[in-house]
Amino acid sequence: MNYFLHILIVCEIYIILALAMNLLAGYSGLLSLAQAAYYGIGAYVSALLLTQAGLSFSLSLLGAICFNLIISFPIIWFASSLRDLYFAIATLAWQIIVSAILYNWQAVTNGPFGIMGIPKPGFGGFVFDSLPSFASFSSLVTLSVLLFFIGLHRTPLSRCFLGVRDDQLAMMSFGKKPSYFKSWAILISSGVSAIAGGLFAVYFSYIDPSSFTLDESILIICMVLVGGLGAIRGSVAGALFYVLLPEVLRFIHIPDSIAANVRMMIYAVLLILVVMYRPYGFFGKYTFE
Amino acid sequence: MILKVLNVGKSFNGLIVLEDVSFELETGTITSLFGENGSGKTTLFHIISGFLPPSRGKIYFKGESIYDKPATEIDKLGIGRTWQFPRVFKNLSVLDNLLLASKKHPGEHVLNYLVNPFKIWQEEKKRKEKAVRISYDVGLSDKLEEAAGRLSFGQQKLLSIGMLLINEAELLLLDEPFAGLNVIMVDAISKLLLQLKEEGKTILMIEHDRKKAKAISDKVLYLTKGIIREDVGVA
Repeated sequence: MNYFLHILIVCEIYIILALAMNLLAGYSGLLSLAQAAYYGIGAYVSALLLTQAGLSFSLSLLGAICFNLIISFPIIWFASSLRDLYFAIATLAWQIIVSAILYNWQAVTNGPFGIMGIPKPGFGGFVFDSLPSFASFSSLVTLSVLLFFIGLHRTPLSRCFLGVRDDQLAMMSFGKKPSYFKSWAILISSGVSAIAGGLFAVYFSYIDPSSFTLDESILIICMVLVGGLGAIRGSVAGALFYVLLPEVLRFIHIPDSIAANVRMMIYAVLLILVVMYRPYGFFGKYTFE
Repeated sequence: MILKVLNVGKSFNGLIVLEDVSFELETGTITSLFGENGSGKTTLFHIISGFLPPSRGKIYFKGESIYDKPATEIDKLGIGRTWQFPRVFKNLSVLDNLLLASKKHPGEHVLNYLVNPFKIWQEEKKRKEKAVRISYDVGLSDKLEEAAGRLSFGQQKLLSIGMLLINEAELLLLDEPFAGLNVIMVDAISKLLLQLKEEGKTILMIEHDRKKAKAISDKVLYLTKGIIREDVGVA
């Protein structure tokens, strides 16, 4: 039972990250390689506010969201001055910078040793310290994020995100500034990533920079691409696919000495098949050209 | 007079595209702009619509100088344009394309969701009704839910004009509205343009099909070697 609850919580963290990424890549056409940076900053700020400042989880999370909004400005600047692949390369550089800071700014982040003893969240004297109670809490947070995105994508604002994705020049010819909509997509996405980071930090009670590297950013992009760009259920399906597939492959009986590598190969082949035969992903409405 | 272009010139790294272009457009008229390929017709459209700054000259729209205004500001004043290859939002439905082209929607500004969300949905409802009306005008009422990218080339051109209408453009700059269309589509667009003229819209169109364009034009401009020559009363 605990195993399944653990998988559920991990799935939920990735669903939040995939939804945030989908707003950028799927709805606004911004292929960011720095999503793990915002996820990591959210986790670190939450952890530091909980352990060093002694704030409650809700205040720590609020602080992390605000910090992520402020630190979004490099990406907003990239988005206003760079397009397509050049934007992706700039975000890649930003991801590398953030990773380097997390590894090397020892006075604040404790470098590769990370931050330990992050307390579990609690409200009104109740602490979500058991696995079932934490799973309920993370489900509630994930559901709230999901409902937020469902609501957002029914607004005229979301239509503008899609317009920016489809044709920026046409947007300008109708008096709309693409940079305004890109900025809001980036702000919302980084704020939501902070929520995933905060959940991650309090669930594992320990964070270190290895959880927020470029590999993680690529994993999040793969979730959105496989699930399908521009579709909420695609982000959910992509996150489930990526988290559950390695777990399913565990049940294939392979000699222990090669099990990990064979599982990864099967995993990679399945991904190639998905990309080849379903270029729009499971539920996608759009693909990068 | 709605538009006055005075001694406009444009050069790219010493290559002169527009030498000295001057002309005026009266409100509620259709004007055709002819010229060889590469004569600078589309460059002139880019300059009037704010996508390119002129190297020199002056441009007035309803008496106001628009010389140094960006495209987003010029649209707000009432100048709308189409492109040689229709720039519709291909992954969005026809209805969403029309709604996206509408001007000053309160739902496009994030703070309005906090201040007055009710107003956003009221406005959205009104604009949907208007978009449906315009879809009838441009003959796309049965395609509202269809993705714009799935429409035929001619239908995309009609949609582009519909987007200018919901955008409340007073001056429509149409880049080759008849190009690549069959006779039925050309007739449909000709009728639509004449109807818009009756409603007081001013149209300046680049066209290569001189016969078709002259049939509905009040005035014809020829752009040759960067200079405009004018024929009046052709229709």
